[in-house]
Amino acid sequence: MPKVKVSQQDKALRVGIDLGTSRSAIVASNGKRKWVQSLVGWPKDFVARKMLGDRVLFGDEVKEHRLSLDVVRPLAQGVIKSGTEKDEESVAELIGHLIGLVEPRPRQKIFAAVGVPAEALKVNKRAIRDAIADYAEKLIVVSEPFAVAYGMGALDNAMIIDMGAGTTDFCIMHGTMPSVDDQRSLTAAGDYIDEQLLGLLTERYPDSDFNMNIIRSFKEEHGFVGDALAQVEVEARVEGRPVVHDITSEMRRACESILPAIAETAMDMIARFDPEYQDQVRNNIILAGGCSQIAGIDTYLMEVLSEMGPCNISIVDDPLYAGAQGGLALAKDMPYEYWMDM
Amino acid sequence: MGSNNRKTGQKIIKAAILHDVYCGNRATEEPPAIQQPLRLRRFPRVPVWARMVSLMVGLSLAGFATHAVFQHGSGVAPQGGKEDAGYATFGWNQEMALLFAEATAGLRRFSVAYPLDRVEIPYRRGAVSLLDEELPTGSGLLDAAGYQLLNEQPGMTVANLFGLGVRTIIIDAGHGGRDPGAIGPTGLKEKDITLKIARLLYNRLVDEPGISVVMTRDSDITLSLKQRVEYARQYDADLLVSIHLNTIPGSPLTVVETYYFGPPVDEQSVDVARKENHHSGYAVAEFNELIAGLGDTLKQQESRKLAAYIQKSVYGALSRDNRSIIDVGIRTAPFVLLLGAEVPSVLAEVTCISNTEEEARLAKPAYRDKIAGALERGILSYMNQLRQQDRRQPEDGSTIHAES
Repeated sequence: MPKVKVSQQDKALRVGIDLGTSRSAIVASNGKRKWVQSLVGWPKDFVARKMLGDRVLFGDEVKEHRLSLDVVRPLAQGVIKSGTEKDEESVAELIGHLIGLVEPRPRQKIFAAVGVPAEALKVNKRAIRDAIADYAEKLIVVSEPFAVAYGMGALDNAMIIDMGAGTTDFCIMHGTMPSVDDQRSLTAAGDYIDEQLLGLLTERYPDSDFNMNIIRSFKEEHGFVGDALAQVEVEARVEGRPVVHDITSEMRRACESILPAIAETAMDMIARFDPEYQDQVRNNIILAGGCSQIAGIDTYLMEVLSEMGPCNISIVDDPLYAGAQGGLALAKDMPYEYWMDM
Repeated sequence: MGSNNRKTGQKIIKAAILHDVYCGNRATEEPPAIQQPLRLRRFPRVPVWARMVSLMVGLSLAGFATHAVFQHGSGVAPQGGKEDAGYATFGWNQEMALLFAEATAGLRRFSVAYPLDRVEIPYRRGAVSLLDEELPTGSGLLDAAGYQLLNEQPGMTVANLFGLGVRTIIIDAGHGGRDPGAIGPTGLKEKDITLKIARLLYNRLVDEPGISVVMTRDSDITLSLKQRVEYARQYDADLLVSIHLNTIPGSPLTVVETYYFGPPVDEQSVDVARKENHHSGYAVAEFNELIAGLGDTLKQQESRKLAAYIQKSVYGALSRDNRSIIDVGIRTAPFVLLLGAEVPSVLAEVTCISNTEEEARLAKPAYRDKIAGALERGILSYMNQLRQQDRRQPEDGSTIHAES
C-alpha cells in the first residue's frame, strides 16, 4: 500500500569547512573539529595498492607514503585547474574525508558552508559546487576571507588579509557582501616564501640537500620578520651527515619578500575606500591564515601603513580554524528556508 | 542604549549579508544544459554475409530498375497502346523504386549510423495550441503578444508562466510481483533493486518540508501500468518518477538514460519501451483516449526539464565510481506509463543490470543509496528551479499580465 507522510524536521548537521591550499579544516555543529593537510594521494601502481589497499589517502598519511602515491594538492594555485579531472576529484574526496572526520550520524543530512580561496571562487565556483555536491545535502560556497570576517563579526568597515599558502586574499567589509572590487588576491603568500627560502639556502649552502617539506617546516618553526630575537639554527644534512646551519638572515629575507606587495595592496584598497570610513578600516585590519603566524608580521605592516595615519592590526586567535568557524557561523545563521532553496 | 543600537544594527547587517550570500550561491545553480542525446548504435544481429547479399540484391535491383525504365521509356512513344504502356512504365518504375528503397533502408538500419538528431524542442510556434482553445484571447489572460513572448523566450514554459509548483511526488518502482523485469547475469532481479532504490528515495524525500511522497508499491506485488497511472491520479500527483534498470543483452556497456514521453528517437528506445510496456493492462479504446490527450504542452516541457535534471545528477554521481559509464542523455520514447500520467513524468533507467560489475555494485546498499541520493538531487533541483522561475518577475511584465 502506498504510504503518505509529510514532516518538517530539521535534523541536519551544520558544518563549516575551510578548503585551504595547504591545510583544510572542518568545524561541525556537533562540537567536533578536525584539520588535515590538503593532500590527496592515490596508490600509484599494483605494488602500492598491495601495500596500502585500494583507497584514497589523505593528509599526513600521504606525506608518509608519498613515494608510492600519485599526490594531488587540490587548489594548488588557489584554483581548480580546469580540464584536470584529478583536481576536481581530489577536492571532492577531501571534502568527503573531512565530513567523515566529524562523524555525522548515519544518513544525517549535511548543510555545509565552504570557504575557498577568493581566486577559486571567482574562477570556478560552479566546479567547486559540483565537486562538493555529492557529500553535502545543501551547500553554500563563499570566499575564505569573507568566512573569516563573518566568523569574527567584522562585518562593517573592516579589512581581512588572509595570508594562506597559495594566495594572500584581501577583503574589505562594509556591511554588505563584498563585491569583486572589494576583494583582491596576490600570489605573494606562503609558497612564495618557501621558494625564496629554498633559493637562498641552496645558494648559501650548496652542499646541503633541502626539499620543500623541510623548508616549510623551517618556516613554520622559525619564520620571522623585522629584527631577529635570536639566531635561527637548523639541522641539515651534508652528504648524509647532520650539520647545523645558521639561516637567520635568509629566513628574514624570505619572509619579508612578500610584505611590500601586501602592504602596497592594502594601502591601495584603503585609499580607494570611501574617505569618510578610511580611518575606521585602517583601525580594523585583521590578519588571518597560516602566514599570519610569522613573528613580527603585524608590527611590520603597522609601521608601513601608519604613513597613512594611525592604524591597528590584529591577528586571529586560531588561524587554523578561523575560516571553518566562520563557515559554521554562516551555516548556523542561514535561515532554514534559504537552505531549502539552495 | 548605544550598545543596544549597535547590536540591532549588526543584526540587520547580518541578515542583509546572509541574503546576499544566498542570492550569490543560488545564482550559480543554473539549470543543466540539455544536450543532444547520444545515439547508441545497435550492432547488427544480421551476419555479415546477409548484409553483403542484401547489398548486392539492392544494387542489382536498382540497376535493373533503371534499365527497365529506360527501355520502356524509349519504346513507348511510337506504339499505339499509349496508355497501357504508360501505366506499365509507371508501375514498373514505382515498384522498382519501392524495392530499392526497402533494400537500402535495410542496409542503412544495420550498417550506417544515423545522423544525430535533436530531441524535439517544445518551444515552437503553436506549441500552446491547447491553451488556445481553453482560453480565448478575449479573456485577456494571454493575448497575441503573450503567445509571441511565450514562444520566443527560450526559458519560458507553461509551468513558469502560471507559477505552478510541486506538492506530491509519486515514486514508482518498476516491475514487481510476477514481472521480474530484467535479470542480471548472476540472477539479481530488476524488480527487487528498483523497489530498494525507491524506498531509499522515499525516505530521503519524506523529510523534505512541504511535499508529500507516495510510492506505487512498497512490496513485491504485481501492478499493471494502468494501476500505477491510477495511483498517480488518485493521489493528485504533481510529478511521477519511475525507476528502472536498463539491460543491453550481450554487451558489457553500462549506460544511464532518462526517458520522457514523446515519439521514439530510434529503434533502441522503441525496444526499451516495448520491454517496459509489457503488462500494460490497457484496452485499445482506452489507449486511443490517452493518445488523444497527448497535445499536453505543459507535461512535455516539464517532463523534459525534469528528465534533464535527473539525468545530470544520476550520471554525475555514478560516473565518479565507474569511468566507463556512458551518458546517453534524455530521450523520448512511447512508454505507456509516461503517456498515461497527466503530470510531468519521467522514467529513469539509472544503470545497466546486464553489466556484471554493475550488478555486483547494485547488490550493495551504499551504491543503491547513492543512486537514490542522485535521484533526490535531480528532483529537488528541478523543484528549486520551478520555485525560482516563479519568483523571478518578468522585466517587462505588461505583455504577459492579465489585464483585469
